[in-house]
Amino acid sequence: MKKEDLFEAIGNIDDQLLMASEQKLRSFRLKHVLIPITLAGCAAALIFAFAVIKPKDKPVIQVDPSLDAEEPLSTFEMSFGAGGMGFEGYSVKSIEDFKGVDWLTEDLEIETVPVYQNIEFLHEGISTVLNPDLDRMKAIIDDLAQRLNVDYEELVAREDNDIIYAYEVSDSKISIEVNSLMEAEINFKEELVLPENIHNGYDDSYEEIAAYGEYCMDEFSYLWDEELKLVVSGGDYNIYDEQSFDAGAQNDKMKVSFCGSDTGDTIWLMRIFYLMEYEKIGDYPIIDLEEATSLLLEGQFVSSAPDPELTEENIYGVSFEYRSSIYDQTIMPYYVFYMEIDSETQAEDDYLHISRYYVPAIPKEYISNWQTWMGQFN
Amino acid sequence: MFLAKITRNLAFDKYRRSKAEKRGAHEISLVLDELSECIGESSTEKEIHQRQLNEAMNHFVKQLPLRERSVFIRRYFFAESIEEIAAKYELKKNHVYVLLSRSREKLKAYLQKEGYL
Repeated sequence: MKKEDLFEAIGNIDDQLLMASEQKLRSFRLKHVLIPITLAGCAAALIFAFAVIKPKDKPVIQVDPSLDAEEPLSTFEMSFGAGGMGFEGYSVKSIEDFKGVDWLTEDLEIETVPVYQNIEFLHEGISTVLNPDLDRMKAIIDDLAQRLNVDYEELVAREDNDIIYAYEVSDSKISIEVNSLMEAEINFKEELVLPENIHNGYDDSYEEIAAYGEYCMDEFSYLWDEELKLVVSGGDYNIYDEQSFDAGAQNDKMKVSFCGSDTGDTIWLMRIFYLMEYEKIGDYPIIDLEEATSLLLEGQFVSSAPDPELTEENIYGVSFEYRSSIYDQTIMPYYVFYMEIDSETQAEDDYLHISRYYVPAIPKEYISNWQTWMGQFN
Repeated sequence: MFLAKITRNLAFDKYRRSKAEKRGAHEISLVLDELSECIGESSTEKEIHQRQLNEAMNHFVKQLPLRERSVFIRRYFFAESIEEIAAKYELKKNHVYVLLSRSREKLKAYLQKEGYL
């Protein structure tokens, strides 16, 4: 047999398998989770907000050229990294399938919220953290190396365009990387075998993943000093009708993600997100849920997903979340509405195809590039 | 997916015609070299029908764990670069290498077990 025969055989793989490979892998969604100011426990996936705060008593923050509302390509940038569907979408059988979401059932008892300056955002097409806190990165990696007994010989600096974006240390069993967003990734080169009654496969049940989370919180408690709370999130289905959940733990200073494994009986990767010290821009008033709902129904939202039917009946749930991504210059809260995607654009199956539609919680007079209709810009 | 298959076949034909290290052909050349590990240069080659091999390959890919399967398909069907795959799944390049290496070992063992090698 020739290698070309093998290549040709791979070329005849079933379409369904090919389509599945377009889907983003669930366990790698956890990123840019903003711990201290996240009111909702939902694991962050992606955000697509282009809002820029314009404080009344401060100079206007300049809009980044790459986010220029008049730039037609900006709408394409919104769906960057949005996964296999090309947008932020979830397939569930009922809204109760979503786990780890703090549903908003009544108005928040707060009138103002802090807004922060993001330190990593898309600048001229490149995601960059300028002036990374190298001392803190080193301190975190040293601390973890000590706790994990990693006897390393060299601290390796990873650079991009002459800016250090991560440090890495390793020995024969473990490697640790800490990046400039204070995200630590612990890679167990020799996968740790879980006890027989603990499982962490990508399609394991909520109960199994919760038990896995409890086990990890206990097993790895030497990695942190303060008490953490178990968080199990996820709940949507993939095309194989498999429901996925993520196990994690958090407090107001850190969040830990206990990644799943292919075989379901080992752990090989863990991520720890430490509190970032973002520069506070100021405290801003927020609109209430009723006003946010009115704006949503008027089409005043941002989203990467196809348009929803704009009726109250189509709102399955609301959460209140701070979001951060490379598309945001500011870190601010949103009312996040869970709505069914327009039936004409969804697949014909038994699932409820839900996406998230974001209404800025800050009044629009403070926002310099407010979108006008269905996520579109002037 | 139909278009993806056509595109892939055209690229492969182009590769076979030119064998040149041109854009596109270069990645396929790398992919073929990696796959050659699974065959073994010194193995006794058996005459097999391509259709049977296709079915066997489908069976093999289906039984791979989800992450490994996805990475395998992106690399060996779509001939995407390691960097592209790493970016798509938010993995480090080293992880992609490890996953692909594991898959190739499994494929080699599978092909041997099924009598193709």
